[in-house]
Amino acid sequence: MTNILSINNLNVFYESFHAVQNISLSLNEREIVVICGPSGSGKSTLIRAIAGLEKADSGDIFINNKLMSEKEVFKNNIFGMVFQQFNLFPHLTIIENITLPLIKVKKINKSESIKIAEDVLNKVKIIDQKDKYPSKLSGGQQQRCAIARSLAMNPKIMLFDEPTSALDPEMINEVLDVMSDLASTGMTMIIVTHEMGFAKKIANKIIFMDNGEIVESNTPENFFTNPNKERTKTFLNQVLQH
Amino acid sequence: MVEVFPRLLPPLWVTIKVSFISLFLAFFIGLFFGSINSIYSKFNPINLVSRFYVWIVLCTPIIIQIYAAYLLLPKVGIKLDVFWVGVIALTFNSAGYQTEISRASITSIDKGQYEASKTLGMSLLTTMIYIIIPQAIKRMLPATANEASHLIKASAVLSVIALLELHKAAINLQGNSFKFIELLALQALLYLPIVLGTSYIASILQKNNDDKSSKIDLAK
Ligand SMILES: Nc1ncnc2c1ncn2[C@@H]1O[C@H](COP(=O)(O)OP(=O)(O)OP(=O)(O)O)[C@@H](O)[C@H]1O
Ligand SMILES: [Mg+2]
Repeated sequence: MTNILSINNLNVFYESFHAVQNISLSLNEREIVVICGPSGSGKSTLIRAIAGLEKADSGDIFINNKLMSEKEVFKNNIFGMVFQQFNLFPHLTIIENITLPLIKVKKINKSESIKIAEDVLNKVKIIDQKDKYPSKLSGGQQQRCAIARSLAMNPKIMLFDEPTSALDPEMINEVLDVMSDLASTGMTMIIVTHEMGFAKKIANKIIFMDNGEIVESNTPENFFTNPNKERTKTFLNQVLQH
Repeated sequence: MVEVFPRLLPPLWVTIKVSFISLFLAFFIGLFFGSINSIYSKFNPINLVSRFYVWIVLCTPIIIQIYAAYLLLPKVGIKLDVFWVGVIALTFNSAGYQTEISRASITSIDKGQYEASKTLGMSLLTTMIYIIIPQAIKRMLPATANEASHLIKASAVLSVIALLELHKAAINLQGNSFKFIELLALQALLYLPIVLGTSYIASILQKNNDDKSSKIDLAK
C-alpha cells in the first residue's frame, strides 16, 4: 500500500489556546479515516489545517512522501473540501458552480468543462438540477453539488467536515450514499462526522479526538466493541445511547 | 415660463452627463478601494491612504472640494474644460462614499465563499472578480442608487465654477427675467424625474437580481 498523506506533529494555536496538539496521522491510498469527538475537541481545526484553511503553527504535511508547501497543495488540487454549510456560489447555477473553477483554475475550455461537470453531476445524481440556482435546491441536493464541485477538480484526497450536520434527517442518507459510492471508487477520504453507523460501515480507521489530541485511533471493529481508552467508552455511551 | 423651458434642456443634459460620468468612474474607484479595505488589514499602506481619503471626503463640504479642484488642478499644470473639472470634483467626492458602500457590501459576504474558492485552487484575484464582487454588487445597488440621487442634486453646486448645468442656467435666466419662484419650481420639476428615474432603475435592477435565482421555478 502506498502512503498518500503523512502529517507530523501538527499544532494549531488560537492566541494562547492550543486547539490542535501534536497530531500525527498517516493515510494510505484508498483509505478512509473517520474523525469523531465531542464539540470543541478540534476536529474542524485539524481538517481545516490539513486543507490549508487554518494556519498550522508547526508540523509538516507530506503528500506521497514529498513535503509540500501550502501553495503547492492548492495549486495541485491535492484536497477537495466539503463543508457543513455547503458554501456553493449562490449567484451561479449548479453547473456554473462546477465549470467556473475548471475554467479559471485548470484552464479547461468551456465545452470540455461542461462535459466534466455533467459527468460528476451524474455521479451525485443531480444532473436534472444543473441549470437551477443553489437556493432552489434542497439541502441534500446542495451538498451533493458541493461534493461534485470538489470532485470535478480531481483531488487526491477528499476532506469532509460534518457534511450532514446542517441537513434535515430525511436528506442525510442521500449524501451518505454519495459518499459511499465515492468510497467504492477508491477515493481516499478523511471524514469528520457524528454519524456513527456510517462510520462503522465505511471507515478503515476511526480516530477519536478530545481536547485537541488524538485519544484513540483504531479499526472500526475494535473502536466500537473493544476501545482501548476509558474516555472513548464514555463518548460512545453518550453518542450511541439512542 | 413655457418659453424658457427649452432653454433649460441642454443644461439639464449637462447635469445628467456630469453626474453619471462621475458616478460611473467613482463606482470603480470605490470598488477598488472597498475590495482592498476588506481584504487587507487596517494598517496596509493602501488602506491607510484610502481611509484618510474617505475621511477627507466625508468631513468637508462638497463646495470646498469643487473649489479645490477648480483652483488646484491648473496649479499642477492640469488645464481642463470646466465640465471635466466638474467630473473630477464629483468623482473625488462620490468615490469616497462609494468606497464605504463597497467595503460594507464586500465585508458582508460570508467567509465560506472565500474558503470554498481557496480549496478549489482559485487565486484571491479570481475569487474577488468571479465570486465576491458579483455578489457584493447586488447588495450595493440600493445604497448606490441613493448615492446617485445624492450626486445629481449635489451637482447643482458646480454652478459656483460656472459650469452651465441646470442650476447655473436657471440662475442666468433669473437674472434676465426676475421670475425667481417660477424658475425655482421649474428646476425642481426638472431634477425630480432624473432622481426618481434613477431610483426606479435601481429598484428594477434589484428586483431582477432577486428574481434570477427563482426564474427557473417560474418557468415550470
Ligand atoms: N477562529 C477561532 N478563534 C479562536 N478559537 C477558536 C477558533 N476556531 C475554533 N476555536 C476553538 O478551538 C476549539 C476547537 O474548535 P473546533 O471547531 O476545531 O472543534 P470541533 O471539534 O470541530 O467542534 P464541533 O463538533 O462543535 O464542530 C474550540 O474550543 C473552539 O472554541
Ligand atoms: Mg467542527
